[in-house]
Amino acid sequence: MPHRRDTSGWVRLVPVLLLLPVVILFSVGYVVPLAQLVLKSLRHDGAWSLNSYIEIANSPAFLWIVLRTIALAATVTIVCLLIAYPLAYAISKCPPRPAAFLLVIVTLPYLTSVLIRTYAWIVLLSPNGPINQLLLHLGLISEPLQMVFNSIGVYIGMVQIQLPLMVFPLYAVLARVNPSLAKAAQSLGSPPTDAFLRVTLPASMPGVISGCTLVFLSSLGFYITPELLGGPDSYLIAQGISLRVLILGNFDEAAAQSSILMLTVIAVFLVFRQRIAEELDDRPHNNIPLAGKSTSGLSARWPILERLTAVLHGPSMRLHEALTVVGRPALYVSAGLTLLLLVLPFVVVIPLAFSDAPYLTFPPPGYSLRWFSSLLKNTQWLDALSFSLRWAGLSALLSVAIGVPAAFALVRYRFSARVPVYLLLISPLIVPHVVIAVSLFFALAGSSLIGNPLAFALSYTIIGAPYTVVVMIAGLKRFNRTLELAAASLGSSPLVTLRTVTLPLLLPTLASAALFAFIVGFDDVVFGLFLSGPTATPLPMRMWDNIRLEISPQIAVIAVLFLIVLALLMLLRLFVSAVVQSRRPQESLHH
Amino acid sequence: MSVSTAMVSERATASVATSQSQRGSVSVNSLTKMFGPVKAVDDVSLSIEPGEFVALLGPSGSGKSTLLMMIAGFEVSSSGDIMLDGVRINDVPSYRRGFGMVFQSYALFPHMTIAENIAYPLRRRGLSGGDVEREVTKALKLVALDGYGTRLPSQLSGGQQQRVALARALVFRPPLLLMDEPLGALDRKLRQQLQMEIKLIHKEVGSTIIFVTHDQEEALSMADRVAVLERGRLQQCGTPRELYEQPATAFVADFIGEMNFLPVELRQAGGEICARSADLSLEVVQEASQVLTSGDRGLLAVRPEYIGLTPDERATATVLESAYTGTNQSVLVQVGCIRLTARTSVSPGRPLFQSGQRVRIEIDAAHTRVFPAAR
Ligand SMILES: Nc1ncnc2c1ncn2[C@@H]1O[C@H](COP(=O)(O)OP(=O)(O)OP(=O)(O)O)[C@@H](O)[C@H]1O
Ligand SMILES: [Mg+2]
Repeated sequence: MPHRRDTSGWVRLVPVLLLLPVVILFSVGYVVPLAQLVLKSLRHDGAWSLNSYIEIANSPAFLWIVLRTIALAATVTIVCLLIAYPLAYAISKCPPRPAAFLLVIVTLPYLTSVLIRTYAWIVLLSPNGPINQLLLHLGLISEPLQMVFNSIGVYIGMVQIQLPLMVFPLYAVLARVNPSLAKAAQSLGSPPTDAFLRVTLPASMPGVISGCTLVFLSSLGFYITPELLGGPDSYLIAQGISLRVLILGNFDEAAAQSSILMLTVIAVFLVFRQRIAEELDDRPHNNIPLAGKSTSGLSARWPILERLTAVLHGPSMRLHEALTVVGRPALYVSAGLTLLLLVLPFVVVIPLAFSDAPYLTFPPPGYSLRWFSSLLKNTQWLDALSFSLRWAGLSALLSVAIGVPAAFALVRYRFSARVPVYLLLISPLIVPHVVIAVSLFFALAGSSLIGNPLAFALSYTIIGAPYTVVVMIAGLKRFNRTLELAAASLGSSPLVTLRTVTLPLLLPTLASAALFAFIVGFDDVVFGLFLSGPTATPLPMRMWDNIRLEISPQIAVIAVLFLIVLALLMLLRLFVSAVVQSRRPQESLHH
Repeated sequence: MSVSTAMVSERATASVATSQSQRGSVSVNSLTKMFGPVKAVDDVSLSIEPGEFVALLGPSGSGKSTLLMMIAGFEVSSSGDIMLDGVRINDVPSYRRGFGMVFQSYALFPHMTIAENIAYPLRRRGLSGGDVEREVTKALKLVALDGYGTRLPSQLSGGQQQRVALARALVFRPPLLLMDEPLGALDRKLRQQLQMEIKLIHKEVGSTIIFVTHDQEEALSMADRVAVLERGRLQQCGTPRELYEQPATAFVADFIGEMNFLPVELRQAGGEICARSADLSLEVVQEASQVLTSGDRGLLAVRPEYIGLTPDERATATVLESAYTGTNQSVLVQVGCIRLTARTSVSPGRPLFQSGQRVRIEIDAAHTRVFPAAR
């Protein structure tokens, strides 16, 4: 008689129970509205029809918008790759402490609201802004360049905003590439640059692919930066959609355009699902595909190519040696410039907050706290701030509450729907927020939920939970499960082990997860555009209106406050992990 | 079924609280563990007396850890029984089995002090205050770490951490202590020191110990009995001396100590089997066991110390290589197409064997064993 634990039926139910809350919420607040959106696009005057799509296809304006969007996304992706790679490479070569510091410099802009960074770029690029002033001063130009409210501004702003998204995956892979690989290649006769090309670069391809996918997909649906930095002649697809919903009331076409955008993004996402799902497990990332292996085990190459490389061997080695000499300084200069680009917005925003001018001008003629006190006197801003704090905070808690059990289920259990559920839970990271917001707008239209804080809680949770899931999965994968076995062998039931060992050790991870989820909601503009009402106006909506209508140093004050809070939270997180790592010895025996 | 399970777990838990004496007899019956098509543990039966120190020995991947994990309750067996003091515990969850466990990676809780780590199992058993403090102090003394209670695991060396792990696993006086390569991560000197300490502690606390290792020296020197596993199957379980002198299978003969294998032809003669080696013009007669039949090819196993060498210019065997180790000389000899290692004791005044020298080989038939060749 085969002995199985007679709890096995229950064991199989555990992941289901863990996933139930998040799956229910995602079904109701995300999958169903998106499905309704697609259905809506297929109906016209109460009947099934492809009318909206035909209309779109016949509109040259829309085709231009699509082309412009793709061109922008592709260009931004390539530029990001070219300037992020040297930086990521340089960081991966740094000793741990400087590397951690540099990563904070990359993370800081990533955590700072897109709205604030876009605002900074308006200031930086404006005709009398610091960049034009510098160029004029250097005599490089005779009159100010028009760099804002046209596509130049959009390109510059987008590159800076998307950069961290490229640096992270590149760094993750480069840091993992075994440094002794390149050293081994050098010892076998490759000059450093050649070793880089043959060993490091191929090994970092997974990071290049992840980074490019992330940047390209999120650029396709970008709204805030193009809307604020671009001109009326450089519309992109997300702007087209919101224009149709908010101004023109052309819902059918908006639904059709949203469906096209979403399905394109999902298609690309699914093409790369293998690589994305790998994040779930610990398969090695840096396996170089061995293409075209011949029977000898040497890679097969055309004979002519073989002969050519033999002839060019001498000169190419000398070229590599020359490159090795200039390579290092070039690497550091390029990495330094990229870092400068990342921090540039803060360089203008921080002094601007202390401006004493009644309007926006840079550099400020003098310094005062007038904009701080004006913020404190303005109840509209304060109400918006408290609204955002409250509902983004609540959503962060909710995201943690549903995302953490889900991460446990995905990491700790094996079940057939595991990969699909994972892809579903992280998909809000790449489905454009405009599309999700439009779908919620349609789903909630007519109900009292538009303009209701609950709609914000729902949407903030849907865009925040993917971050908690991703952060927790990474934390759980790092977690040493032998500790749980040890606890069990010492007499802890699973729940007691969770309380006394697992959760205390995961506390820093939980804090990060909550912080990410909070910031995602706190920074949101897009949902605000569609779901705001007179009693429900989040802070970013106030900032949005300010930037569009009057553009004052008020935003800079918010940015500075935000940075202070962010710094405090980061310190708190460091403190939490420090406490976890080293509790004071004196309390050894007394709880 | 579920009723009896509940009763069993109740008794198993109750037994934790009862006195230590004569508890901790463990037996596994026909235990098997499948990972998909792989049989990690294959029909293993083993019974261990209370207070016994048993080593599980085998090469990497032989199923030692899997067997231990099933006893600990971290792996569910595919079939077979695990019994503690005559009670089947297959369905008792690990945290109710009450066995101590020491892991190769120590598995100390990094967020707790040493004292908190050791107090952990006591708190789970409802102890508090002065009782905990007293037991922790005693346990720290047992592993010679008194005064280290307020430190964090990261502030101790590897050997110290392993001793804390041992103290933590022993502080609640488990009837059975399981260790999975506990010394694997330590350097040689520290290993030897801890081997001695563990033996002393075993004497002192009297728990049954099952100790996994792939180091045969460690197994032979520490354990009362050694169970040898290969590819999931139990090859033999016996005292170190039994394993060395009467290996049950060719695998054990090869794995424990040094062994020469000579190809032989087997012939059955009544109740006896006769093994003949043409190269050595040697015949050994042994009692036939059921595995051996005439006409088979076999292997004659003989340890280096039972091969005698005498210098003889007319002999067919040649010394290829030799190594002098103080009291002994190991000599590699070629005869026909066979190579043998002999170990001869060095006596003062007698010359050492030299490469190229011709020697006569004598094998002590009383210390040979015959195994079937198809292994
Ligand atoms: N979770 C698992 N899933 C699949 N196969 C496993 C699993 N755990 C162990 N195995 C397989 O079972 C066999 C026995 O493994 P086990 O870990 O018990 O060996 P071991 O004797 O402890 O080896 P080592 O000395 O290397 O620790 C191996 O072939 C191993 O690959
Ligand atoms: Mg093992």
